[in-house]
Amino acid sequence: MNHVATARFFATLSLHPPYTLLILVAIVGIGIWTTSTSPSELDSGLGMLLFAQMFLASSGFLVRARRGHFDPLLAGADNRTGPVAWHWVVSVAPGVVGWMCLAGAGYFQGSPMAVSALVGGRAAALFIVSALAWAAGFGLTRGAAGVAWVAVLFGLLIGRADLLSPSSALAASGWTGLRHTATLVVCPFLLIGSHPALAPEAIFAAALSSAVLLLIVLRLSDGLDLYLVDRA
Amino acid sequence: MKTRLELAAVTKAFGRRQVLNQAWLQVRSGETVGLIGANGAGKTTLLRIAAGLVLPDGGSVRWSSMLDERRARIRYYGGEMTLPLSVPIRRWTSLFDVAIDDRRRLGQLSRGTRQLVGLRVLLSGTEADLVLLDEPWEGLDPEWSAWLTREVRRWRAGGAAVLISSHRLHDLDTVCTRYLLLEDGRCQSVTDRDLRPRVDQLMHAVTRRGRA
Repeated sequence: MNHVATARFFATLSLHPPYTLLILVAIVGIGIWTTSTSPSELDSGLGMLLFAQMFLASSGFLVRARRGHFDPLLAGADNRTGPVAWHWVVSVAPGVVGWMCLAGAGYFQGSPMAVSALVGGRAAALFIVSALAWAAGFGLTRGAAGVAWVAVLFGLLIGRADLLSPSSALAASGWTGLRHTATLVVCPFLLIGSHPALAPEAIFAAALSSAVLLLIVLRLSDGLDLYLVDRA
Repeated sequence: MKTRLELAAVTKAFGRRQVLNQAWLQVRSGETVGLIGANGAGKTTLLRIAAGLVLPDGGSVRWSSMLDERRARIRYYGGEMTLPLSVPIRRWTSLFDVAIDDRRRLGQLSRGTRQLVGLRVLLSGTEADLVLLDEPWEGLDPEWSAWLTREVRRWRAGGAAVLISSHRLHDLDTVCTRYLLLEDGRCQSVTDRDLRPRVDQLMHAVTRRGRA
């Protein structure tokens, strides 16, 4: 199959249940309405969408592949990296489109955060979530990585609330850059909202780490055994 | 006749269970090979290795194409259980340029009808070097069984190599040029006179188990 057919294949297979897309549409609608009434409120819509993307991007490849759903695409394929990369693209596409709608609405309403949502730190937050949720959920059932990520964030908030505090993350230490990066990878939500400026190097490193993890999963997919698992 | 699929000394284990142990197999252009064996013998694993979906632990798998410059074009069907149940039939078949005007979801069909939809999609068109079918007659009524037989013959006549796993010897008999028995992780040719009684015994046991 060519690239268009591969993308169409995954789109036809409904990687996202219809109700999740309805929730996404509702979030985008609420976000646009909020931004139109107060352009400085763009971040509330972006935050909700980022949360939804944690679940949307976690579409789960391996479970469905081992049920044989992707057999027509993968049987006899030269390599799996291309089809698996398209699985990622189709998995994250609804969230990215919703994000672009929100950011575009914010831009035309004169929101000061709109540019950052398209090309800056906020866009990096979307990329980090899109890459990590998909990569972490690669071998899990649909949405499982999103649930696990929320559980981790909840645990951190309960147990070590200071870890997610920007002031703590920015505290001076020999490992500051590494700590910033790790903090942003675990909680990209820090890139949305009015937090003290995070080091651009840390934002870049967090996005790069996510990209590297994504590439590792894509590369590893070539060596996976797609034996058949009975859906029962 | 050119060899389209060659498995050489293939081994595969899942945990401690050795499924394939030095399995050798060749399928040439224009022939249909029937793969038979008891339940759990490793037929599906062997077919998925032949399709490149499962990687062998040892040995090698080689494919060749009618078009020398490209990798073999493989069509593999693992049975109706591999179809995505939530997808509407019309959308699924249109992916493969097959027109079936049915708005129901695949999951709303009976097993036999779903099997038929999967086979119609797989066997549409004419381009393939290797066709791999896992229990294709399962659930089909006599009319569609006859259709499947005709389709397999058409593919073979077109120069494709066909490998079919099935328990239904009478159906295999209508299309196969030779048979392989998969037992103890190895493929044995059943043209060998010594193996024929073993195949009869095995098939009798499988049939009895199915009725029980």
